[in-house]
Amino acid sequence: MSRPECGCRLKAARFSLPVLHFDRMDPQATTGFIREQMERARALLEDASILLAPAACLSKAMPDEIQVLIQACREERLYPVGLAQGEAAEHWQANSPLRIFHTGNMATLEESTPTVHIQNRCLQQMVRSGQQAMAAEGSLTVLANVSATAEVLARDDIHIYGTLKGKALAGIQGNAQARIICQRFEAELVAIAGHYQLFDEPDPAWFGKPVCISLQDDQLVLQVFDRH
Amino acid sequence: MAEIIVVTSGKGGVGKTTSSASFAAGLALRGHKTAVIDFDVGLRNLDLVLGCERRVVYDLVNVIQDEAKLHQALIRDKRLENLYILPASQTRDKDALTAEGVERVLNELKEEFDYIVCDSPAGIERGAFLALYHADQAVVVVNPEVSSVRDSDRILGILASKSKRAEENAEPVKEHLLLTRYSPEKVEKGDMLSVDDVLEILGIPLLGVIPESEAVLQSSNAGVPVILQEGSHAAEAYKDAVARYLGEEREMRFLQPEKKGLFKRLLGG
Ligand SMILES: Nc1ncnc2c1ncn2[C@@H]1O[C@H](COP(=O)(O)OP(=O)(O)OP(=O)(O)O)[C@@H](O)[C@H]1O
Ligand SMILES: [Mg+2]
Repeated sequence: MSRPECGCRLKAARFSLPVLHFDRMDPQATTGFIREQMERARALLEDASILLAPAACLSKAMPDEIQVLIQACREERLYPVGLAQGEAAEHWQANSPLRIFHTGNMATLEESTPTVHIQNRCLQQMVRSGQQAMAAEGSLTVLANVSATAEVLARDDIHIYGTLKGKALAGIQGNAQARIICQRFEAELVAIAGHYQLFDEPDPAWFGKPVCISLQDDQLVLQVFDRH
Repeated sequence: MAEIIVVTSGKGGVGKTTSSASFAAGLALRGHKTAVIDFDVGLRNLDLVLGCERRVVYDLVNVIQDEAKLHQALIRDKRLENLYILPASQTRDKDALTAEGVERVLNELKEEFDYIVCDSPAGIERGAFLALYHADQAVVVVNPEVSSVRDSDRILGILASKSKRAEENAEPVKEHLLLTRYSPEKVEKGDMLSVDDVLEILGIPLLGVIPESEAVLQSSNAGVPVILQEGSHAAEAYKDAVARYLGEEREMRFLQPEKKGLFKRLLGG
């Protein structure tokens, strides 16, 4: 419902957030784990909002323990904004400022509103270092290069008719069918539905080649189109 | 209608001031009334390169803060009747530049001049942003090395998204690549990026390639823009770049290592 006179609007929306699963109250171990992940995908994770998913065995955690764990995440620049559904979630909700994210409700909401909004974007210009280009509601096509350190993101597929030197993140809201296709692959990082891979060493098997990346059984698969 | 040209780079020390001075002098040599503005508040050196540092009375900040009139601050070049310099302040800091103030000065200059060349400070902060914001055309000065190319890529992104033309959805700022301090010998040895490498990364039209040249340092110490240093390769390359800017076709020169003459070879030189 839109009420222009107050400038507010309420709309259903879905976001996919990284979920941190853990099965013991050990802030040090959690910190270590987060640092390891950050090293591998800082661009994806730094300053990200996350959900916490405490294992069932943590349904008796003390409020101050919970607070310490949340603080440990924050210090590593990951910000818990809620709880994933699970056996311990109710207890954690009662003993922390975090609320449970009802993903189930969201799914039914989506089922009852079958009109999926698709808005594809096509960019003619290069995406340059320091820039970010996003198609939040569809696929992104770039008719030029994506520079080193630049980022392209899309809810669905990403097509690049030039060289991909920066980062490409497809399926950012969880679409595991999304693909990344580029004319010349020199990427620093690619991700599909949160599964990412860093490419710090250029491998002649794919570097500079036309490539299609998809997700198969939770694994990123890189396929080179060889024209010979 | 006057045209505003920003000379910018992102990275420091790549040759913006050297290029601003020679480019503005080149336009003046070709008969166009040209003003060149030093936006590097706090570190002014355009006046040194143009040899008018002893004639600075008022500067850009004085004009912006209404402490002087524009024509009091503009310095007319001694050699070229069509060239005027608006120096930067050495005593103020960068916050003394305001967006409205810069706009007012540029509008006033536009009434009188054909070309207004803005010598940007390094970086991508306020000073650099104010220098590029009003630009119609941009000369992006790049050295053939990875960090300079990367920074210029960022500046090109800012030109395409944050300039006045971008904000108003007008025709985009026209971009030109000026590759400076180019050393064909080093390129041949693989120690430096080649023209093609840089073009491949930045993807904008090449305005010129200025060779690494001792004449640049000599002439800036003498307070003469290098374009006036008759016979030097850097002067020739700057003249070519100005001619291309004005729409003439000129072949790129000084891209190959210099061939040693027969005598030098015989003498093993
Ligand atoms: N083609 C060239 N050959 C040799 N030296 C050069 C050349 N171009 C510039 N230089 C030298 O490089 C140095 C930096 O040049 P300049 O001051 O023009 O750079 P700048 O980009 O304006 O620097 P800043 O970012 O500090 O404003 C100077 O010492 C200058 O003499
Ligand atoms: Mg300078």
